[in-house]
Amino acid sequence: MTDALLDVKELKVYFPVGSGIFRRHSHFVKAVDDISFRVQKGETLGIVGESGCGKSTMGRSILRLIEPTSGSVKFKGHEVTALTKSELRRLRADIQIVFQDPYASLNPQLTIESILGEALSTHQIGNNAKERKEMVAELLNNVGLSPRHAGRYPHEFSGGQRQRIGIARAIAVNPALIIADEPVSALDVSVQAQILNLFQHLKKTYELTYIFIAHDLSVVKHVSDRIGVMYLGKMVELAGKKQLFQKPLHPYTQALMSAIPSLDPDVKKERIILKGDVPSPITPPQGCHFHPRCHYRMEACEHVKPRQIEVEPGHFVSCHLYDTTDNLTEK
Amino acid sequence: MLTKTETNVQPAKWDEMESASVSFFGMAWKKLRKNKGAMIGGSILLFFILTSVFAPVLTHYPVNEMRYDETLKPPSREHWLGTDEFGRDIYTRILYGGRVSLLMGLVAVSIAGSVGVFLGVIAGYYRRLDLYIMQLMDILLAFPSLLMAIAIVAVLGVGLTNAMIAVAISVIPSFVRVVRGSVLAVREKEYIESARALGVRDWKIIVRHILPNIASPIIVLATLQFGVSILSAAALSFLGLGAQPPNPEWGALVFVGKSFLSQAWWMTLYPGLAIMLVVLGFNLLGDGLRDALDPRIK
Repeated sequence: MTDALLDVKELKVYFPVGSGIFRRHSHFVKAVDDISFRVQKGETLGIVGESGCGKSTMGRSILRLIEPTSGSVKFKGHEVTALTKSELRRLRADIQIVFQDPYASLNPQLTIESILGEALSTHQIGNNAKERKEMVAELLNNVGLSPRHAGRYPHEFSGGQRQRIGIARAIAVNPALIIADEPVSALDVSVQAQILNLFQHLKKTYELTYIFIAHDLSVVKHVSDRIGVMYLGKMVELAGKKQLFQKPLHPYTQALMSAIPSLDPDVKKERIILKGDVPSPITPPQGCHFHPRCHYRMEACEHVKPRQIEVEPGHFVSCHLYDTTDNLTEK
Repeated sequence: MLTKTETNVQPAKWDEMESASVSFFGMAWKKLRKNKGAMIGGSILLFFILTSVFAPVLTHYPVNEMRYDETLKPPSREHWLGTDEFGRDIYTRILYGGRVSLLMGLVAVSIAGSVGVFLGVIAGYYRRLDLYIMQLMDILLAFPSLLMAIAIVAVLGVGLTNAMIAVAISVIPSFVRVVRGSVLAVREKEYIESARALGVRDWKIIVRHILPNIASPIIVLATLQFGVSILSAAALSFLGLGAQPPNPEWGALVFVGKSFLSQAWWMTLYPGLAIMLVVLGFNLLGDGLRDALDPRIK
């Protein structure tokens, strides 16, 4: 596990809030608070969590669209957080992002050809205009659109078609890693399946690695090899898809799993209802962030931050329930 | 040019209609043509632009030659709009004066527009400079724009060029405000973020992605400020700070005419009417453009 494609260590993204006259930032929104994980080449890591848990911020901070506050992001062994502006520009060809809202992610004033052409010309892909034109046509083919429509403007397309264009723009530069930030949550369910299949298909054709962010467990289950569960800026559980769905360990994951509706009406599932709301990320609870809503709360949870423990190979969980070492009393 | 690649992806559904692609500005033009006010405003402006361009063809009187046997004549068949105190034909002077007035508006709006867009984009895109630029603009905005222009002329000296510069400076803050606000709205859009994610350089993001998307408010504002600038320039000339006699600038004509108001009303009425119509034309066209360029109004 040393040659991971992406190695994120102790990543933190804090946003200052409340700036007075003297611009003292006494409070921070801890959008991403100490997250570590690795992504192997060729796999799909799903990230789930509810709105505001920091999953999009995490995706963007890996690309340095949002500057991380601290921590390390290593891509192919290179430290991303230490790159200069021009080095970072070269990295853009290796890591790409697909956005959530296909209506906001395409410049309404540009034709599809110029949107895709910009991606190519920025990274000097293709020698001349004619070659790029052919590449745009091939890209459109590959995402299931007709090259005849390259001269059209974004407003002439449906949501699903626009998302295909967004995907085409991401794969245009031949990236190794694509961060998909809720790419299907703005789409109709019928279109969602098409786009998910497109993602699967492109993964094979282009040998891609995905970080797939979503808030829909069934979507993530469909595409992911491993899944990370986020809660209030923390990665509470990270495991293989099977492990996670068969044996969810963290109480939050268990509650999420119990919320998936079953197709079989005879199967009686015990529904775990979480009490209360997600606390404010400005003043997250002491100790374990989840403890005010947790069914298995212990005294230690209120004071001590849980460590990330590898319960079984490849199955990480941050919860005192599984911490066998005796460090619960120290801070 | 189609390169066929092996793919088993289901093609997305297309409406088979091969409609011609219409750009945003193409649609705006269609909407503008249906707007009565804008078309009237546009016609007025076109009329004044054409008459001042073709002034030598439309009149046979010289613009500045004095004829003492013809002084202060009321409108007649020889002199459609009468003559002034030196026997010069008012109709001729208004035609030639339109060149000066419209040019003053054009120059003032061009200067104010380019400086204003530049500063506005900088303030909106590079937030570190925002505070400094905007505080400077707030200081400028604190004075009424005409008062501001008078103050600038007082510093630079009286004259046509200085009046244009003064008007331009007094108009800059409104451009900066509008442009900055629009940039702030656009820069948070995901297509800007995706351009950054692609590694597109800042200046290219500004030129390709931001400017075309804030063009609508800039066009509308420029049109409206055209009228304001012409009015301010005329006001400066009326106060004797801009165009100097014998320059037939419209404000200067009104200025000269006011001394003869009781004997020769035509000397002030007609140039004043010209100013009013041109400003009205710009306002009508500006309002029409605002509606046409607003994607929410069908």
